[in-house]
Amino acid sequence: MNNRLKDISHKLIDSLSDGIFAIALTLLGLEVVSLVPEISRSEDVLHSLQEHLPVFSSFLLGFVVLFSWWYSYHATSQYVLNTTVVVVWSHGFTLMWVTLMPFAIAMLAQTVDTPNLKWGVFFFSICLHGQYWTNLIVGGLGMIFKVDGLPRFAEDFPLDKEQVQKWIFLSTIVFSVGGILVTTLSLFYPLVSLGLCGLLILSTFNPNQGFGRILSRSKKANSNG
Amino acid sequence: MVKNIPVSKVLSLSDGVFSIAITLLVLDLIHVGSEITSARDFNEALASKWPVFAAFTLGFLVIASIWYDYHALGQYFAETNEIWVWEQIFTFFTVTLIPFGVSILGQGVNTPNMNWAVFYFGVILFARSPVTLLAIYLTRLKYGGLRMTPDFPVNVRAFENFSMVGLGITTVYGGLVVSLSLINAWLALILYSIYVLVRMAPISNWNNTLKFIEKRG
Repeated sequence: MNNRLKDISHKLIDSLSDGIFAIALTLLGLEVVSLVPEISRSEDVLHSLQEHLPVFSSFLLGFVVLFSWWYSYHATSQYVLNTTVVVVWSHGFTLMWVTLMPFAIAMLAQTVDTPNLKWGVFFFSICLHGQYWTNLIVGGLGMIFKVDGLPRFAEDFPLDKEQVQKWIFLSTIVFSVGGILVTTLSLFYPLVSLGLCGLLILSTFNPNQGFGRILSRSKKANSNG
Repeated sequence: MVKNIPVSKVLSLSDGVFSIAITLLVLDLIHVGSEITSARDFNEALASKWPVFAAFTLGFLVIASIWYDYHALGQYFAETNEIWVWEQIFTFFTVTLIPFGVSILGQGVNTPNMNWAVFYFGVILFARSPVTLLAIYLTRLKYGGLRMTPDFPVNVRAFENFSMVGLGITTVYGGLVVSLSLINAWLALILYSIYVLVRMAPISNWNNTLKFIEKRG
């Protein structure tokens, strides 16, 4: 008898994450719904709607961010067969940033057009890049405690273990450092920082395309090496 | 005879309960967010609300750890019975109460009511242990023990014995620490956090326990 408890199935994280994404996406609507009494009682509804444009645009931004994350998450997780403690906690902390996104969006919506805009963008940027930082910390702890961090992948997964390790490491470092720079920049040039956050969001719009680029670069590197 | 409900039904319900509880934790932050943005001194208002942010993090770690531990063993349950189902429902009950516990903790730290905030959070944190202990005991009494899948890696009887000992220790620890919160809330909070951190890797914790069970024969 193999005297070890098996790791939990990756499908369990998928189910939990679907629930969390669904609720976080819906919570984004709270800020918009709270405007209804004020808008419906105003004499000029159109003007009132225009006044609250930051709330509507922040809602749209939050929705796009969360939906892109959900898409990226499933684009890769469909190939994952099992979990490790590093995988569970990396996903766990990513879900923490998902749950925090409605807070970041509310802060952003309420600080636009105020002197506190930089703080709204600052917190939004923290929540946007936070997953890379927590992944770096969890991965680092996994290395320190010598825990096998990578899960097993399905046979049709087009990268081998070494390539996956390399790309996860590289992308986590690049996005972590980029995140620190963009977040710091928000305190001096909030609109520039917000624009850079927008670029990051746009880059995750089509995860299959991003994944395809990684594949072609890996193949190139292999043929050169 | 009406057959027992399948384990998968309870596991599906658990996914919904855990997802909703974990996401509800943010409601307090959203509320605080509007307070901060309307304050005269943004940074001072933000700094004064640090307990809310810390309580959110602690609450998140608590729910995520319970979820991980729940599935580490849940994957081996083969059959349900009314005792097991109600033990699971009690677990969900405590999980749904965690956002409340986090909320009173976030708002109670650094106030004269801090002892009570930490006390109630502790009650929610440790309430599951005695109930699970009782459920395992009653299941053994009525059905002769837990029904696990054939690939469960250890003798079920020995596992039940060690689980009951472990849950007994946790219950006593919880009782002491929760009582301590009325005397020294900060110390109790540190001991809660240690308990949560220790439970973050349930698979390796269980594997160490299984090794110990094997050694003891």
